[in-house]
Amino acid sequence: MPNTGTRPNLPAPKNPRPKTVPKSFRIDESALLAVEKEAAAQKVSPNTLVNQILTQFADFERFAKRINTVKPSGFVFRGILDAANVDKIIEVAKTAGSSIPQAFVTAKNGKVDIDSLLDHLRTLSLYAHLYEYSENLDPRGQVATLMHDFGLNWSIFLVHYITAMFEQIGSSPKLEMSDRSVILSLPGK
Amino acid sequence: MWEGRMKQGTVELQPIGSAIFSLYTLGCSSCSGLDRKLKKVTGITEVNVNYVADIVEVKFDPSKIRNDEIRAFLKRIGSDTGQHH
Repeated sequence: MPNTGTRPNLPAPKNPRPKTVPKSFRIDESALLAVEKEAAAQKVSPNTLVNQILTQFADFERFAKRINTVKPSGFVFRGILDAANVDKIIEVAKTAGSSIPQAFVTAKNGKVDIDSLLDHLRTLSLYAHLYEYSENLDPRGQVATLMHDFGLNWSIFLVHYITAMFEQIGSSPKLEMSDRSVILSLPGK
Repeated sequence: MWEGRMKQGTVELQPIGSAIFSLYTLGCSSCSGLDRKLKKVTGITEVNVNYVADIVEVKFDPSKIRNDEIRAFLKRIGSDTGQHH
């Protein structure tokens, strides 16, 4: 059951660096060659690359496939958005925002609150490339900025998606938008 | 998410910033030594380059540097290496 979105009185402990463990797997030789080639091109170890591939699966892909996620190119995505009817964009955003984040966050975090919803926005930036994400935290409040190149219709979608998403926990962040960004402000305690 | 510091029995909250930048957008997908270059910038406290997602996550002290300054720095690295889109 979602909570009311109330922020805790005390600060959460700082996220520790994720623990790593040794593990052996048998994998296709062609996949290994591809990983080794890409790792060499990026000047990182195959271990780093494999860890990032598996993390992407663990944090995003396994949940994304449950909601039938597709990955159009940025060019195609923007073209579709530019051609779309704004009223329809708002309708889809409200429907999606009131259902998808809850399903995603519950499956991943086991609970729906402000921090897990912000983590959802962060995850969409990390793995779906829907925008660049930044946030500033201080005792006065929390400000998250979503920057993108997909035009005004995408900002309109995001504003309504985020509004619907936070309505599910009884929270109403302040939202501002331009054709390249959406700024979300949550007051501190 | 908060950085807390105990001071005489109270918790003093320290502002922190974090950002996720698209390396593709900034023309920096193949920029070498990105984490090393970013870690040298005053105010940046943590860097995690993700080569699979093609993004870089940065944690910083917002009283010393802003996210748009970090973005501009990354864009400059991309331009210097001739990878800007």
